[in-house]
Amino acid sequence: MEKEKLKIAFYWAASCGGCEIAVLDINEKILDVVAAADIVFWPVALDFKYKDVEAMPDKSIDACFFNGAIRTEENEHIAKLLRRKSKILVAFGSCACDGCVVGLANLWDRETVFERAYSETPSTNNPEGTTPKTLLEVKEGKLKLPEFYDTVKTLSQTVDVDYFISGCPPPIPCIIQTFQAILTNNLPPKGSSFLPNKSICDECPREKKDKQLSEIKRIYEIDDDFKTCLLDQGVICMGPATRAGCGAQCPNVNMPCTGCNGPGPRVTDQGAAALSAIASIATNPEVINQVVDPIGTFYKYSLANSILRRKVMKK
Amino acid sequence: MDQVQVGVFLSDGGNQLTKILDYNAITEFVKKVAGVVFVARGSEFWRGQGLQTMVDAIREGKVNRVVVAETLPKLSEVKIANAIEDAGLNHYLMEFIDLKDHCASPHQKTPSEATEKAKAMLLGAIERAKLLEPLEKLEFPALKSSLVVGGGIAGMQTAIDLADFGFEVSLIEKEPFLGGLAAQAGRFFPTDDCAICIQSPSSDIKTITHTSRKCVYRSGFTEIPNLNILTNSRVVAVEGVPGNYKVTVEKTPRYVDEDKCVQCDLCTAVCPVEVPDEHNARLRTRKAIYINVPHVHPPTYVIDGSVCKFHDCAKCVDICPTKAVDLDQRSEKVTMSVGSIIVATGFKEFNSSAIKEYHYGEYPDVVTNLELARMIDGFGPTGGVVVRPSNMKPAKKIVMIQCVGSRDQRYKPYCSSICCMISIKHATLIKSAYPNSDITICYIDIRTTGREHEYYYEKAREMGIKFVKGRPTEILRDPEKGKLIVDVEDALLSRFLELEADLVVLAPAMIPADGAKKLAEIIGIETEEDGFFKEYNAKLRPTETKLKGVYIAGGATFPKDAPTTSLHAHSAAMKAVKFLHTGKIVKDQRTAVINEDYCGDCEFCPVTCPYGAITLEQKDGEHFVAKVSDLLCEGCGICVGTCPQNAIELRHCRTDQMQAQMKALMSINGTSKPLVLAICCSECGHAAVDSSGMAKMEYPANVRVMKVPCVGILQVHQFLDAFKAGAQGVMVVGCKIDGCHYEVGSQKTEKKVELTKILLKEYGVEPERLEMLNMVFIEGDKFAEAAQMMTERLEKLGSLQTFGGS
Ligand SMILES: Cc1cc2nc3c(=O)[nH]c(=O)nc-3n(C[C@H](O)[C@H](O)[C@H](O)COP(=O)(O)OP(=O)(O)OC[C@H]3O[C@@H](n4cnc5c(N)ncnc54)[C@H](O)[C@@H]3O)c2cc1C
Ligand code: SF4
Ligand code: SF4
Ligand code: SF4
Ligand code: SF4
Ligand code: SF4
Repeated sequence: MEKEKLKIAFYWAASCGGCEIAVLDINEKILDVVAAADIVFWPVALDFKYKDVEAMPDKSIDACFFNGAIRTEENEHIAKLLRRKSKILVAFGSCACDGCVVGLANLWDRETVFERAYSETPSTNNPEGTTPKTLLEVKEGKLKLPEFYDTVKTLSQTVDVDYFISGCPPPIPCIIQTFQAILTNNLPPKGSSFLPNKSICDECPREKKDKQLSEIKRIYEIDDDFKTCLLDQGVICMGPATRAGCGAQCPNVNMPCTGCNGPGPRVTDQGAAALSAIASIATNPEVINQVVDPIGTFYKYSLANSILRRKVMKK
Repeated sequence: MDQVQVGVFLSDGGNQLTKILDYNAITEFVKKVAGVVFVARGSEFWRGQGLQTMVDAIREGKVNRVVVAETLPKLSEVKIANAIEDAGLNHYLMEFIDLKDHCASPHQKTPSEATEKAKAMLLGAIERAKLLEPLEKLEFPALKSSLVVGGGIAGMQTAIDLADFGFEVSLIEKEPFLGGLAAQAGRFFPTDDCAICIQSPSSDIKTITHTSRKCVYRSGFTEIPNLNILTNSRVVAVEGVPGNYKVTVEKTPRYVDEDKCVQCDLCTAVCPVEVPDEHNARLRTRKAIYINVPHVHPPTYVIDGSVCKFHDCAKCVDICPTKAVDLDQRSEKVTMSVGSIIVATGFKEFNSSAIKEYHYGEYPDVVTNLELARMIDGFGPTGGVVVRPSNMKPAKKIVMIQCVGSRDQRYKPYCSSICCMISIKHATLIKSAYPNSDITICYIDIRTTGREHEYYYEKAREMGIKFVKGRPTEILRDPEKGKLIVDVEDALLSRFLELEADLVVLAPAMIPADGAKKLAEIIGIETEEDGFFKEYNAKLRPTETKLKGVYIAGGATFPKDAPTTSLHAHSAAMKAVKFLHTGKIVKDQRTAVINEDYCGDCEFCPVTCPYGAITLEQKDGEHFVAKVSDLLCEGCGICVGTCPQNAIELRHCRTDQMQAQMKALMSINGTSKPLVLAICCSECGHAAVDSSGMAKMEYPANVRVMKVPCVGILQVHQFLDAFKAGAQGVMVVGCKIDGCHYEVGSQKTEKKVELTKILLKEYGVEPERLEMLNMVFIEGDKFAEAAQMMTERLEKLGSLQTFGGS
């Protein structure tokens, strides 16, 4: 008797869509996935409606790959719905895991975000000053629209998550591994990540030297020898505070790691981990003052998942 | 592991504290805390009946974790630790707090607040105690042997002590002969006896008395069987660990066999090569084959390989009656295993030719103290007569210039400390031998701080030696008569002087021996900015270095006179004996441990560990992972505070233990003021808190103290966690930046705090909520004041609203 095919779902909340493309980047391996599983919900590629999901029995989806952060009421609603309907919920990509660039909006709140997006930007033409509303009177009646939250949340701050695979987007070999683990029911303990436990430095071919940081430089300010660790050349690299998996893609092409895979397995706050390490190798106090935009540098992908999570807004 | 059963022992100090703290309420509170199975209250628990109660509870298996609140902390903690260890409980399973100096005393005006704080402190200790784990004792083998580098009086004295104690000792000297500066100085102040006199070894059986001392060549120390002397030798590599260093020494050839040479001096007569004799201030020449003076060790001639013609000549080979000369000797490498290394490489004179206005090296009649010493020495080049090198005629008018290069911002800012006495010695020696000589000493200040030294100076004045206060601006030379003129302003009489001189003697600054820095690198110890070897603690451990088993003695640490050098030498020997005499090194496993699975090979921790305890190892031929040496690790946690993967834990202060205590301390306020967490290092930081309590200085009870081994263990996330746990303000209290007991802990954490403040600002949190303080024990007032000010600041700022939101 033929084994029953697995049912899998993909969803995107507040994200750029890159994670969806990454799924296709596994190339011919996607055929193995389709051979072993039925895709029951995938708004970006297939025509399903929310009500189709609502109609499914609870826990009827074997695995749901959820990318994107929780920015709006709609995101939250679907996250909860998919949680209910899925046996396994995977936080897929940096936005779902750590908030990613979407989460940087936590340096502002709804009001200031609207202000910027709907009136300040040079490309905005909005003489009436219209901003999103949750309730709209139209002639057919009252229209309720999802609320835009003050604070971006990660998936696990919203619902219970079984597995994580971070990255912006997640590294292709790790995506393949994730699919294989699920298709073959070879699952790690709940709460695990499908990325390796090490940090980027472990995968980086650059040669580490004495780590005496006497001056912080931008990448264009160094004469990169393409061999020496970027931090040893004075450039802030997030590699040491970032979970491995990508094969150190960025340092390999002469760009510092910016941290998209999120923190290591034992770290709760990626930026704090990087700051501790950087401060520890600074040879003089001036180095500290050369740190510009600490959140943009050290929390680019993890602000929403950091200990403080968001900026305190003074009213 | 067994279920944790916490016993809490609450001392009220014989009702001392009951006036302030409500012990009944506290006892009731403690009884209800999960995990607490035994609560005892008494007047004291560190001796007598109280201690017996604790011991019994452990013996009877009632408790396996102990929380003690005593009123005499410093003394009682050790006593209790020993007692519970005897009772069969590892003493790392004890958590100790001080309800008197950390609670009742500073908060005596607010008793109910103090009571609430006491509860929080106890809860913190209990929560931490639940997570404690026993630590083992470790043993490492250690060799009872030493390598002494440098054969001056420091090295020789250390070597004698160690050899007398029974250690295998190797003494290595880079020059062909032993003695160092003492071999050149002739006589030593303040006694004016021979410089080259040392304490005789106890193996000199025939003549030894407890006061026995002799010149090096008669002392018999060269015959101590367990002392191996290698001259013409240098250390080229050091590997291994304390108690077991593997040292490679390179020995340059002497070309003359020590076992055959009979000092007949026939070779020097036939040797055709003649060069200026550096050992004798170039005032005479020597041959390529030579001996410095007859009374040296080893009593063997040596060939200067840089000038010898070797087989093109070989005259000495032919003439030598014992066939001692071997022109084919090659340099050889000797390796040895030793338990300890003592560095005694001394110092040397600064090269005065750098000071152009004194024309040293250009005017032959401008010499240095060391060169003058050679002239005064009867064995020296002039047979004890002080001459003008330009014409070798006796010098009558002599001007001495002090602080040449010393106390001079252009060269060496420090006082070389012995040159005033050296010049006074030279002046008096010359004046005694030639009473009508005319000697003037130009000085900035005369520094005669040692015993008998001021008397020595007075004697010089009485003898008619003139002293002019002023630093000469220039030495001029009369082109016709060749006389020298020293221009100086007499600062006391405000007049310009032009002092005529046959001979000008400079007192150059003393600087580290050549190659000191390189040697430090080879061994793995540090030098100071001035280039001298750095002591572990200038005040308390002047002959130790931060590497266990490596010691420093004598002038290698800073210019010294002979008495201080001897003190140093004996101290270094004692330290080495103390470290190795049992043949093993025993220590608690109070060390860091790295989880290999998480180490990402970023290679930060090996750089930040102040003790070189971390190395990288390849695992399964693939990943590199960091590894801690239990022997070298001092347990500071600075690596923990560095690791961006949180892969490192300190066995005696784990992150989960800190977190549990922090949360507990912040879980009860009981005051109307904003909670403040003060994280203190267990050294000066915690001591400052103690002293504020001892002096009954007041600060508000909302301030809660948590102890860590060194503030270096802290990471940025701990500050953020504290805010999340409810702290409205965080104080980090460490040692002074340059007084950190673990070298760099305070300094590194100061930078973490600074960065966190920048970060907090971005988060919209007032950076003033976080503060780093650097204190010593006696600054309890500073702690109390800072705690008060932090509280007031926080009250003004209002409560911190943060975290999550919707
Ligand atoms: C001109 C002069 C006069 C002095 N007069 C007096 C006095 O009257 N009274 C008094 O108390 N003190 C006097 N002193 C000070 C006294 O000489 C010192 O206190 C004493 O010599 C210090 O002994 P030391 O063993 O530490 O150093 P040193 O005597 O300098 O000996 C160090 C030895 O180590 C050797 N060495 C250096 N580097 C290495 C290496 N890398 N490997 C192997 N060997 C190495 C050197 O060759 C040297 O033999 C005088 C000093 C000078 C310069
Ligand atoms: S370049 Fe970046 S990732 Fe590579 S070793 Fe250096 S710090 Fe690590
Ligand atoms: S061989 Fe060298 S030391 Fe011997 S006599 Fe000749 S030059 Fe002098
Ligand atoms: S000891 Fe005297 S001469 Fe030497 S540096 Fe100090 S003050 Fe100057
Ligand atoms: S700091 Fe941490 S991750 Fe980096 S090498 Fe050390 S243990 Fe490994
Ligand atoms: S605890 Fe201190 S001494 Fe030990 S390895 Fe870490 S940094 Fe080095």
